[in-house]
Amino acid sequence: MKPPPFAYCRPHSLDEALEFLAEHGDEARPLAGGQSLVPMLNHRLARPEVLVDIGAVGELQRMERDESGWLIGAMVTQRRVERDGTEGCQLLRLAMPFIGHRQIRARGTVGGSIAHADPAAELPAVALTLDATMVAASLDGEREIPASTFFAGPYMNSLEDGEILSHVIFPMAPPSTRCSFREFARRKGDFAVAGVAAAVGFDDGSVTAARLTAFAVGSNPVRLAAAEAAVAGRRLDEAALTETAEAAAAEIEPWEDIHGSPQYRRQLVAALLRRALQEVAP
Amino acid sequence: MTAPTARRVEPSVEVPISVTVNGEAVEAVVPARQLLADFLREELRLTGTHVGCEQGICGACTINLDGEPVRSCIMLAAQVDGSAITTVEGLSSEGLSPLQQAFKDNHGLQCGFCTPGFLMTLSTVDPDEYPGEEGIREAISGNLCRCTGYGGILQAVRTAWNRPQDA
Ligand SMILES: Cc1cc2nc3c(=O)[nH]c(=O)nc-3n(C[C@H](O)[C@H](O)[C@H](O)COP(=O)(O)OP(=O)(O)OC[C@H]3O[C@@H](n4cnc5c(N)ncnc54)[C@H](O)[C@@H]3O)c2cc1C
Ligand code: FES
Ligand code: FES
Repeated sequence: MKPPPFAYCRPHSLDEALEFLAEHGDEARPLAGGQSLVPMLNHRLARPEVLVDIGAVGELQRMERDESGWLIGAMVTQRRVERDGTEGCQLLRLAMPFIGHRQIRARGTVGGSIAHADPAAELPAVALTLDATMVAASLDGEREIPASTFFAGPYMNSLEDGEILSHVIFPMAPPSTRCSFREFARRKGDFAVAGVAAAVGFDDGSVTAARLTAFAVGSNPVRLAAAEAAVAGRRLDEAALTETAEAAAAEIEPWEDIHGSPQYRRQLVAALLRRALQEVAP
Repeated sequence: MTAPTARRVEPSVEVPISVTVNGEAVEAVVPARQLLADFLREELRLTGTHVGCEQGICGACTINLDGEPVRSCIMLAAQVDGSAITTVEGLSSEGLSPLQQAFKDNHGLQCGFCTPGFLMTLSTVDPDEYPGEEGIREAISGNLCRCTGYGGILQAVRTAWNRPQDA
């Protein structure tokens, strides 16, 4: 349970970090908070030759708000988002307490969690729900990747070799938007068995636009298109809740693992979504 | 934090660090692969930091790093260059701290393996962020104990944090 040997460097600028990654190609790996990567090293599930610690790169620590949204640097810790909040982007903060424990969030970063793309992770689900934009940096410049194409399978993202996730832009939701984040886990702090995120806009009590996501049910978080359609334009009465929850349960194709069967996960998503919609109802 | 003039330092298997541990400045050259928990225990002989799972789950290795509770088993010693660390040995210079005394008085430990981790979590977080009985449970949720059944630990925290005793 000790890491294999590797060489380590701690560059102080993004350019320098990108140079190291370019020089060492696929033998190098960025190290962010280490809350997923160091356990993987301890288990020898990862054997990089070179670790490029991006913890001292100032450019990746930005946390800024303008009228269009929040720009969160990849190295901003989950704890910092939990503590400082993201006014006008409620869903992001609502999700934080579900990530592991305080000790994990103290080191774990927003960029690390999104790059790691764990199927049961909260931040990828938030990014997908809010149509966030991932900004990748390389020696050739910056490239924007929408959340809808960023996640490329379990623990896989669509960054190229030599690219670092630089920051994530979470767009500001319209003021009428109400959000809910819910998940079920066996114990506090465990990864979810299933979860949902909801950002719902209202006009005069009726849903204008609903963005609904399920996670921990398959390779990556999924938008619940059928459920979004089922609830559009409606008041959240009993019939709307039931039909939306049923639509979600029917459209997902949950996987089976030791934590639950597909049928169990369908029921969980239906129940969680129903509660989330009850919570956001005006 | 970022020193714009910092010279480029090539990747290396040995890393020089300077770190403050329990108030004392420490200079060392550490193997790149060395875990922080092992550096504290084996190089500095601060064996109060316990290692249970080495995968971030049990909390026995929790320390105070720059004012935040963190797992020293899933950090590299190389990553703490420039930081300040408090381990359980640094909680009190004489006798027991009030938190430690509360654990002793309330049977907050049996074998004691998990205790340094609980103490470091609880001494690092701000109790005001964890109100009520539910807050105490939330605060200790990242630390596992296999002996006490948690009753004594909860009672110890209620005492140390001046919370109602009969919860
Ligand atoms: C006990 C425990 C419980 C946990 N529970 C949860 C949980 O409930 N929910 C949850 O979501 N997570 C959980 N985590 C994981 C935690 O959130 C991690 O912090 C997160 O998954 C990875 O972030 P990191 O900053 O630690 O990244 P690291 O571990 O440093 O890196 C993870 C991966 O991403 C790559 N990477 C990191 N940053 C970048 C970047 N900027 N650009 C490109 N690639 C990058 C690394 O090379 C590595 O492959 C848990 C972890 C532990 C140990
Ligand atoms: S030894 Fe570090 S969390 Fe268990
Ligand atoms: S007292 Fe033995 S593990 Fe907690």
